[in-house]
Order: sequence, then C-alpha cells, then structure tokens
Amino acid sequence: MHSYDVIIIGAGPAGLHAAHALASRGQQVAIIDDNPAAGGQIWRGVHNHATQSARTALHSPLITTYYQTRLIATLAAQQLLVETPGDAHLLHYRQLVIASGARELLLPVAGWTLPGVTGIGGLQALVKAGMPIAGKRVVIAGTGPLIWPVAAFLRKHGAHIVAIAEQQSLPRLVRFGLHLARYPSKLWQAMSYATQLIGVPFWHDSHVIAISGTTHSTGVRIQRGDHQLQLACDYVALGHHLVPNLDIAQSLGCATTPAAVTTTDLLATTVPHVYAIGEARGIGGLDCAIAEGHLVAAVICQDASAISQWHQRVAYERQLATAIATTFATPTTTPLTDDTIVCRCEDVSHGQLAHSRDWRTAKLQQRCGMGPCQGRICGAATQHLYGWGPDTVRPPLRPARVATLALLHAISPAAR
Amino acid sequence: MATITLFINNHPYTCDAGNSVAGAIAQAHQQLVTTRQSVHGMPRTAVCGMGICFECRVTINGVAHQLACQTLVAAGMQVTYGEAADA
Repeated sequence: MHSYDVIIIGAGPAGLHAAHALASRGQQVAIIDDNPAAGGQIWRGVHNHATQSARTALHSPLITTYYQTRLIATLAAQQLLVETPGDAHLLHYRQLVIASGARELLLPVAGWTLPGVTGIGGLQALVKAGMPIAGKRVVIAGTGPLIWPVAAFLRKHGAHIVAIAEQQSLPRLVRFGLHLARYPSKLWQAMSYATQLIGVPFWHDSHVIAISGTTHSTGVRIQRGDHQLQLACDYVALGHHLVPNLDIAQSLGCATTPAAVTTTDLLATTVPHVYAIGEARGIGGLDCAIAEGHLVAAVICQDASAISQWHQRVAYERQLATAIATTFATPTTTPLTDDTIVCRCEDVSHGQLAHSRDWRTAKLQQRCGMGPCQGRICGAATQHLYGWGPDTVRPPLRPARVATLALLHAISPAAR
Repeated sequence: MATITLFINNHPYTCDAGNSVAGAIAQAHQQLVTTRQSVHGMPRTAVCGMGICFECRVTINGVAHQLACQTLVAAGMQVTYGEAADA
C-alpha cells in the first residue's frame, strides 16, 4: 500500500495547482487521473497553454502522478482502490481533494446517437486528438459558454461553421455579457472569440428538433423562434452546458446538490478529511479552479495569510460562477418522440421510460443507466427530462477487471 | 511531432504519436466512422471525447472494450472494431 499526505483526484487546473501549492509546503502528494496526461479537459496535456505552476508541479519529487488510472472504489480507513492499464493499487490518504471536474450535459433528441453527433467539448477533444475537421460542415447547437471557444477553435482548424444555435434568449445572453464586464480578461476573451467568428450565423432562441442520417449525421432540423430550418452538415456538436462529476464525492458519502458538492467556504465537504475544488463545487471555469487549488493547499497546511488571500479571490470568481449558472444551467428540451433513445448504452427509449416513476425503477425494469457508462450520460439527462434524482453510488465506480477487485482481499473486511 | 505506425483493422496507418486511437481512426477514414453496434444494432462511435460515454470502445491489442478516446496510439498497436474485431 502506498500512503500520501494528500491524494488529489483529477489532474486538471484545480488539481495541478493544489498539488503544486501543497508540494511547495512539503506535502507528499499523489494525483490520479483517468486520462493519459495531465491538464484536464481544458488543457489536455500540460503544454504552453498551461500555467507555469501546473507545469512545475509535474517535475516535483514530492508529487506522484497516476495517469490512465481509474478510481474503482472508495474504501473505509481513508483508502482508495485504483486501476491502471496493467495493475491495481490500494492508496492511503491523510487528506483527499476531489478535483473531478465536469462533463458535458448531453440531452437526447431524435438522431443524437448517429455517428457524427458529438458533444461540443467532445468535438474539440476529438480534433485535438487527431480527428480531421478541415473543410467539414459543422452545426454547433445547445447552450453554454463553451460554444464560443470551441467554435473559434474549429474554425481556426478549417471547419465550416454552418451555424451556432443557442437555446437562450437574447436578453439573457446580454445580461451574461454585462456580468463579464466585471472580469476584464474574460470580456477580452469573449470579444476575441466574437471577432474570430465574424460571418458565422449565430441564432439565439434556437433548438435542435431532429438530426438526420442513416450511418452518419447528414443534416439537422432547427426550430428558430417561430419557424423551422433544415441544415445540411457533416457534424453536429451538441451540448447543454456542463455538469460536475459528483459520483466520487457521493461514493465517499459527501452531501451534494445536483449542481455541486456541498462544501464550506474553505472547501471542506461534509466528510472529514475530504475537500472539493474546481468544477466539482459548481461550474466556475479555469480561474476559479486555479484559485480553489491554491486555497485548498492553504487550508490543508493551515497557512492563515494564504487562506485569507485565496479565499477572497475564490469569492470573486464564484460570483461569475453564479452568473454562468443563472444563464446556462437550465437548458430546455424539445418534446421527444417515443422512439428517441435516452440511454445510449442499453438503447432504452423515451417511450419505454414513460411508465418508470424514478431512476431506480428505470434501472431495474428497463436497464436504463445500467451499461458501461453507468448512467453518466442518461443519469444527468433523465434528471433534466423527468426530474429523477440520483440513486446511491455503489462500487465499482467504473468497469473494472476482476484482478482489481481481488485486491480487496488484501485488506481486512472492516476496511472494505 | 514523431510519428508511429499502428494497425487499424489490420491496415497499417501512420500518424502523430500524440493522437488518440479515436483520432487516428477518424483520420484514417477522413471522418468519424461507426466503430460499434449498439445492443439493438445501431451504428455508434465517439461522442464525448473524454472517457465518459463509453461509445468509442474498440478492441486494442486483443483486449475488448478499450476506450479509443482515452488511449494514445503506439507503434505496432492493433486496433480492431466491427467485423474485424469479431474475427
């Protein structure tokens, strides 16, 4: 068993900054992440875009990194069971920092299972990983601040952005723009994206009704205000803002709301020795995640002056998080046809779920959420579609090898 | 960046060493292609790009259900899906 002063779950900006600040105060730190490299979804690898602190963190002798490592179970006595591509480990922590980030909310619509329909951040991630986009026609639809940087990125890489269809109303978007005025760097960023997207049709109050195609998406039907349009395209990037990854916190018994892990102002969850930072505390973006990384290190090391400094900074960044949530966190859905798939893993349709009264019934009777993704897509979707709450989170948190689970025999039954 | 050669459904393909398997498959076909049939036989492929949705799973070096979006390409890697994976 390996033991660390602090284990950080997630090597994104929040986790890396926490690790750097903890190691600079002499703490032995481990970071675990299921991706092949650090950086999280925003940096995807710690290159030139990443901050100096994040890059430095990866060279610290006090920081151990576990990449391509999935957290399989949270155990008693401050232990974690993790799985690497070839092995499994039990890790012990004194303090645990959840920096599990966020995922896109993907809401079902007719045709959304066709190849060529991706998340918005999903399409960007795939292009960064080598997928060709030059010359492809892309419709970006849904809602959220992610739309802008991704549209600019895709255009820069040669994509033809056919249209951006944002669900929110113009007054709502304008109000959000006014909030940005208090954050000069973000306002500057937003204006830069707008400049890069000159000439791209941008429609507010617009919803995807259906995506067409047989083996690949070839078009999308959009309700724009009172009328409908059919657009031909190669890709539909569809996303409805972000939802925090809460399953790890829930597995540990931490209180959560649908939007965040519940914490004190100083980032403590309701479970002793467990903290939450970054998107897990509610979608707040990069600067917020970095500030909370610094703050959690100051809190753990009881560094009073740093606590006061970073606490103020977090409060400032969290005001923007509130504006983001007010603007984007309540996406609407167009009425679904009975044959629209809701659970992609098990092919459970909207019609099949009509008689399920809650998430548990849907799981037991229809196998909704019982496939490999373990409800990470349809769980959040059914919460929005039907108002279902989450069920108890049980291990294994991710599909695991039998050999990994067998490691539990190495520890006493009381500690499992 | 350095390049490597892997095998996609038994065909050699050379790409950047920093690509994911999902990226390499799309590159080899110039677009996203079906890499999986759903339980009811519908075509599927990568969606979230970040290890959440599990739609991109393929067989890598004989091990089924590996996530193409979270696996980096490697020299000599054997990636199969569809009929090639069943063979």
